[in-house]
Amino acid sequence: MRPLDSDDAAIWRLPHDFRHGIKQTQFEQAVLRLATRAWASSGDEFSLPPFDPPRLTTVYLEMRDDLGRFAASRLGGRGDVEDVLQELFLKVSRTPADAEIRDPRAYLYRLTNNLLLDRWRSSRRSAARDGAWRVAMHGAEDGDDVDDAPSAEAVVAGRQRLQTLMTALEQLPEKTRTIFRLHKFDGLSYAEVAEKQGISRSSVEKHMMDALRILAARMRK
Amino acid sequence: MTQHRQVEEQALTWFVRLSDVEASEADWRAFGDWIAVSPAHRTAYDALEQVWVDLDDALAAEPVAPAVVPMTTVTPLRRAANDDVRVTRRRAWLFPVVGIAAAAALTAGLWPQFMDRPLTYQTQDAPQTITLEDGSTVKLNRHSSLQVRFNDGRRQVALKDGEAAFDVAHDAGRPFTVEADGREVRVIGTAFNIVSHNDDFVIGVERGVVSVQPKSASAPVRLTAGQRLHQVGGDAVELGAVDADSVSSWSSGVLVYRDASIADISRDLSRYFDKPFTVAASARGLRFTGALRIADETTMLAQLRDFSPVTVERTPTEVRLSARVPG
Repeated sequence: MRPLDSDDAAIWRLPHDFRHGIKQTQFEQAVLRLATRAWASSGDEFSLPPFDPPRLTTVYLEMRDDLGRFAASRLGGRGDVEDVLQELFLKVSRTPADAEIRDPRAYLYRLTNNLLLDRWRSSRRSAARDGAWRVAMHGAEDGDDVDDAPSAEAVVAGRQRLQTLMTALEQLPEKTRTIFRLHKFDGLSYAEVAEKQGISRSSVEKHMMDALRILAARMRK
Repeated sequence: MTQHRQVEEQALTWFVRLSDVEASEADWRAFGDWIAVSPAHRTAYDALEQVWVDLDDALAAEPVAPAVVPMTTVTPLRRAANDDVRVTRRRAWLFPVVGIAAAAALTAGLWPQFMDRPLTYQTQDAPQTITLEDGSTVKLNRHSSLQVRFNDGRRQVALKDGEAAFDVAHDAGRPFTVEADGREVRVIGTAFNIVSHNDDFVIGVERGVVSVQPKSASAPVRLTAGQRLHQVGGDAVELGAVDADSVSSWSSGVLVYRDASIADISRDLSRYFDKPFTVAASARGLRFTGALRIADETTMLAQLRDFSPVTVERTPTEVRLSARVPG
């Protein structure tokens, strides 16, 4: 795996925080070169899937601007797009080369969307507004997070919100509920749900819309 | 229909369309255009996403008791619905599961006498993938030891030492538990990674929900995808986030770190090479982002030296890491 181009190695050696000062594509290309070179060498007892050509990475580099625009629209000015792109790149670069991806371009959009969702989810968590989660943690922690712990009212409100949601879910018409759960909780695709229920794919979409429409309306109250 | 309601319906249509793996690039682009049109579009869409996320939390807040788990026969290893890669990969590895099941059927006559005797798996210098009789898989890392005891009502495994990544088949009627040095992890159907070595205990969840009973804690802690719990001995537990995709990256031959301390890395390497690592004070503040390819000791230490600002001193019994002096 050696010798490394001195520039690449130098970029790698920079302390993490300094990387933000480097032009992103330069960092990404350095990683790509390093990864290709380091991981393509085989013969080790633990063989790694070949990293060449990292198609997804190539597609990512092509689509980088589009994905950045997409993230910017989703964020509406509420976050750092470059930071999102860098995290996305790390995910892309470690996707196993043998992963079957039917449509890499659609996949990258989905990955971006999921990443934004995950970030939002974890920022919500760290903002300590998630009642149920805090309650779950409570027993296992000593008193040192008392300062940023949510008020008892906030915990109760959070729990009530989840309760309302579960009740609304249980009250959905049976078929709609079954279809919704199969997709949301059991992870079946619409095509798989359709096959299992003996209905068309567009009916599955219709039930999904009905379910979400009702749940969203309930949560707005 | 008011304009407001119209926007809500559009948001609903987009959300439902994009939630399925079959959404095309054209769909995503058109959605990107739609959401950029006005903040009202974004707000309507975010409200749906909020419900979607709350549903995960609501599920996580349900008691782990089997009765409330949605019973949809025995679901073999379901993956997140909205992840193209995983869905396609799942099919690929149904075959080995079927093979093992067939083999198990052939030897079924032998089962009763072994039923209550735990099976023990011990790895040395190479990792091993174990397929359990219920279709769950365990990737056992090097220098690790695992005990398995299944019966009609329970699936019990114990990680005696080392690290293992679990992908547990959903079976609401037979709870799956992992014991690690006095701590208990209860599982529904999920994928997660555990390290238990000396006093150290780390669990990271890739998918689904687990409930962990740490040492000297009054109540179990529930973890969902992307969460991590670390406990040293009986100390207070430390909760944090982990990248769900790299929870068990070791099993694909790479150790992935994002802003990790040199101490964290040396703990992993120490386990790999069964050798103590010492981190000099000068190196304790260093952070590392990147991937190390799993290989022999010499190669991995060379990678660490190349990719991070440390110097490495090796003796047959110990490895010492310190900060590299510039120049």
